[in-house]
Amino acid sequence: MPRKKKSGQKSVPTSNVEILPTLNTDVISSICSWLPVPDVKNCRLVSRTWNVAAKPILKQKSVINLECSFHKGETARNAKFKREMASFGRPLNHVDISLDEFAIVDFKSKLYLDHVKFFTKDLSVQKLGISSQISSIWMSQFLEQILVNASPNLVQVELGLYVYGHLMKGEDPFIEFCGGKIFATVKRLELPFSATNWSLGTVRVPQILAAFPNIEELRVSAELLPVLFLSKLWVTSGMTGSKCAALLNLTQPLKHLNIERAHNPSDDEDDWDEEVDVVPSLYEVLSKHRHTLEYLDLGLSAKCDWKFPPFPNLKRLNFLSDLEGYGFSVEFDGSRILNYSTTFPKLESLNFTPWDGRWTRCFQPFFHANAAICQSVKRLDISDNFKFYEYDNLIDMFKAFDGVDAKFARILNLFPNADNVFMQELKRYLAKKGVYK
Amino acid sequence: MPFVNLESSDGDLVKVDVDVIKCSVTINALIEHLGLEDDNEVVPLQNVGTETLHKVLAWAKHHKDDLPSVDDDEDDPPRERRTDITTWDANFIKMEQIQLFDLILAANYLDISGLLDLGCKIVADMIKGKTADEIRTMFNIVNDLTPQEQEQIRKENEWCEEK
Repeated sequence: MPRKKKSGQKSVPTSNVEILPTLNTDVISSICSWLPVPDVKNCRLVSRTWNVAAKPILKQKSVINLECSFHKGETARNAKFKREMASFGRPLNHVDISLDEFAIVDFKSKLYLDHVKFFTKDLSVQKLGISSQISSIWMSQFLEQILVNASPNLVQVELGLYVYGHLMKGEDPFIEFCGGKIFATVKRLELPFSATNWSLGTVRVPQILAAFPNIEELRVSAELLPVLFLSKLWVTSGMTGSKCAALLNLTQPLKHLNIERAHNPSDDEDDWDEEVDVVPSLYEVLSKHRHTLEYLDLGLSAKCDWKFPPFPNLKRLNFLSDLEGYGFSVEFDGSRILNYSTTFPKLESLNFTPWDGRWTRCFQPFFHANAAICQSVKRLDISDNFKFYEYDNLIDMFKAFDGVDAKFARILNLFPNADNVFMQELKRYLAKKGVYK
Repeated sequence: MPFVNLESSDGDLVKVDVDVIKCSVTINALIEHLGLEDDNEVVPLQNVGTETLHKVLAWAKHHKDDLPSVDDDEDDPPRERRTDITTWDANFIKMEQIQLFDLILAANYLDISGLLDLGCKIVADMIKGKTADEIRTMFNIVNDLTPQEQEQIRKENEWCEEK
């Protein structure tokens, strides 16, 4: 290979070398794509043309690591980054942010505000890696803020998160992953945490997945697989129509669904405008999973007219309703009168909670006077976790409530095979009162 | 079997089996666009000399039955350059630098990814481990970057780490 060891600005062709053709940027880029990062960096320093060709390859092949510890020195680092990388081109290709688990933050300090601005406003990224051990609720909120702000350009996300359950003091991080935001442009998702990771592993994974409906590639540890395909989803906070609709993105069939509260925002809330009605949304979700659902726990707002599809395999229904049901009604597969043998043919257990001791409006559709007898239910409970503990037994409670009247005899007639304590005590109480048998 | 006449930048005509040159996206598109009425159709290639054209055709002929390559995942570790070059390709690509550059430029112009990759791997191998100055000397490139621009590049490079 003819080489000339001359370190001047100009290289003069040696006599035995003909003038080489000039490589264009396309070709130089192709060459650089076969080189490791340090060599690509050198290529940028060869000439302007080489810099133009090698720069995008360097962006593609490298990662920018940014620590976030909220130390004083990081303000200078952030400023240096902004200054030096101003002309590197936006969005950046790949940035990894690691948040220090021991970071202590004064939320009013300039340092904190500078960091928030830097990580949420100044960075624009296509591939974002976030790693942190979450020991406080603000950390999860801060990280969610980074994610949401980066969302317009995101194609790849890695969430290396670990939640310190014992430090959270009952607070639940990622309670609703990024406020129900959908990251539609993300094609690859990596969740490098394990199933034993408190809260994230067992509960949040379906929720996190639902936020990334268009991923083509998912990277997870084998340990997470049982959770991924675990068919239980528990939604702990309020589900409005749009959030129910987001649930439709969940591809796995659900066996167990728990929605603590489904409702429409009240009329005076600002976000009503963009909301969709929760009733058809929930109906769609339930319809999608109706064949696989075996356990359903539903907290339904009393202000809606709900609709249920038939559930051929449902074994248990927990009904968690508002007590003051002034507008409440349920329609079962188009009918106001529930026919258990068609809507819930395999139902074994039916529970209502909370209870204030009276015949509440939400009982009406379930215990209709004209309903056909249900043979499958073996257990029926109407309970209230708080009130029950004030009494030694159910009979005492019924007495104290003084709201358990003849209407409740319907329940005894409707479920002849239910023979749990509640049903036995109810039978005794109503018989004593002379309204049953 | 249909043929196409390729005209090199030196003005020489080379008759080629369409099946052989189908690896060239550029020529394929031209053939489709123009439509080949008869075997006398001439496709002029202003950027490819006769010598280079013959090399391209030799490569294309050898690889005419290759399966189309699968798109590589950019995150996959860079393949070992030498090991995935076949003996035939390794012997084929043994040539003077000037011819190698001409061949790469032709492969780029004709859009023949397999040949472009082969040439680029060879050049990448020459570059590996060399400083910018050594690369300039080797390829006879004039440094037109100002000291300020070089400083800026160095600063940017420092933020970029290997994955």
